[in-house]
Parts: sequence; C-alpha cells; structure tokens
Amino acid sequence: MSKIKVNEIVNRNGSSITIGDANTSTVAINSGTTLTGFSSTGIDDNATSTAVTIDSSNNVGIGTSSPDSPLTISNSGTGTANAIELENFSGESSYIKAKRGLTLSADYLDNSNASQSNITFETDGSEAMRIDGSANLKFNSGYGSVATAYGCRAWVNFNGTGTVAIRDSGNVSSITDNDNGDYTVNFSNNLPDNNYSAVASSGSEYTGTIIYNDGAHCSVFNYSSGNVQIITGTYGQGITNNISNAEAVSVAIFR
Amino acid sequence: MDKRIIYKNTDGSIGIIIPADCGLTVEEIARKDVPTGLSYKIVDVSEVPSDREFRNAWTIDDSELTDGVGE
Repeated sequence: MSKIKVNEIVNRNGSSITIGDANTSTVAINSGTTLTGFSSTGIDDNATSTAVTIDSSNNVGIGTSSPDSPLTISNSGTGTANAIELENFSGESSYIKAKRGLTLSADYLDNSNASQSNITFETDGSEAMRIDGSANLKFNSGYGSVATAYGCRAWVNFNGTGTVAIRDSGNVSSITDNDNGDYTVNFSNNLPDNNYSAVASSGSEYTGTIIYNDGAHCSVFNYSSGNVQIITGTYGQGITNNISNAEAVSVAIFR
Repeated sequence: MDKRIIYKNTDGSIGIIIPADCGLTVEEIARKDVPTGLSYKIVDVSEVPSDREFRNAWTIDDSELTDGVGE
C-alpha cells in the first residue's frame, strides 16, 4: 500500500493504535513536522519550546541547540545556577561513576577570569572545600571557614644510629649520612624556593624508655630548594661539641 | 632499599646516601642526590659499617667510585 493522507487519527473507546508490525518497520516524521503533547510510557513531554536537541553529530543539548559535547547543558538565564541534580530516595547516596578517569574542569571563557574558575564542594548547603582559579586547595576542617590548606611538602622518619635507615617518607628521595648526627634530607621534587618551614625532632629511643640527653637536640640549617640539613646532638650541652646519633629522627617540610 | 650510595666529598669526608622508596631507581637517586661532579659507588647495605664510633674516619679509595658521577 502506498500513502493514506488523513488529518486526524483517533483511537476510539480507549483502544490502542498500533503503527508498524513486529518486523523492522520504521515510523518517520518528516522534517518540519512537530509532535506536540507527546507522551509515551517512558517519556512525558510538556515543554513549551525546544528543550532537548540531538544534532547531526549525535550530541545532545539541553537548553542549547548547539551542543559542544556528547551532552551539553546550557542555562542562559541570570541568577539561576546550572545544575545536575541527583535524587535517590532509597537511602543510598548518589554517585558519579567514570570508568576511565574523571577530570573536573572549571574554566571561564578560556582562562580569562580565574575568580570564576573555582571548583567548590558543599555539604549541607555550606561550602566545605574549594579549588580556586589559582589552583589553591582550600577547605574547612575545623578552621571555621574555608581557608587555604598549606600541606606538608616532604617528610621522613629515620633511624640515625648504626646503619642509618629510613622507616618511611614522602617526597624524599634519600637521606645523606654526612657524619655522626649529621644528615641531609633530599627532596624527590624540589620546593619552589628555600622559604619553607622545616620542623624536626629527634630522640634517643624510637620505642622503649627514653634516655633524656642522647640525640635529643636537633638543629635544621642549610635550607635549599632541593634539600635541608639536620644535626642531632646531646641536649643541654651545646650542640656544636656534642653531636650524637639519634634513633628517632623526624623531619617535616611545610610551605 | 638494601642499597647505599657512597661518595667522597672534596674535603675527603664520606657521604653515605640512604635511598628512599620514592619511585626512583637507586641509579636515578645517585645521579640526583650525589653532589654534582662527585663520583659514587653503589653497594649493598651490608658493606656499610654499623659501628659509627669512628664515623669521621671512614674512607674509600677513589678508584672504587666507578658507578657514576653526581649530576
């Protein structure tokens, strides 16, 4: 059969109309023809203007007819946040799952405005953490407000007695044993300058009863971007002439 | 690591580098952390004395520092 042209097809008495058979039939709507008030079992279309566009590249636009990505959501209105909202009433939390890595990127018009390139995290409606447009990580972890977190850039815990050995470390490539009670901490990745804060402690015993004086005094010096030097000595007797090895030595670098 | 890197300073004192588990090989650490221009030797940790009483008397013959030069 060729074409039947009608103005209206009405199903009567609550019966259904079936278009197509069980094979590979295709129902086509010509370009320029608009379906209105469309409803199906899975879709309820009540839009008053175009809300979703699928372009010739199969990109989907919501709020835009020119999607740049497989899914583009655009909000041209002012004062309204652009939002993807996840609701789960089952009691379980919602999550976003990326199978091969996930990059969150915030950029205002190609790096033109860092103040509008923040990535912000909120809990219970309050800001809890932010990565600002200058790449500073800020969070509120009892600070009272979101503030820049100045992290430990390198740390090491080592035994300076006997055969000097590193127990554990972070961003430290090695310790140089220069002499008795004299060590250099070498960083894996250099710091930007030598204006960091180095915090060091030393003690005679890593576990067990402490021997008060031995190795309990330490000094940090020779700050450079690649390493820092530490001397451990006997407490209370002047470190210059009383250098001694310490079993428990810890150094942490902050900036 | 069970390796140590030995080098001799220009004043004759000996530096012993204890590599950290940082993702670099001992050779990479040696090139990075041995002072520039100084020759070094990579040895097993068992070859380094554990008695440090005369630490400042430790020495090594230059001819043994054959594994590379600090960069």
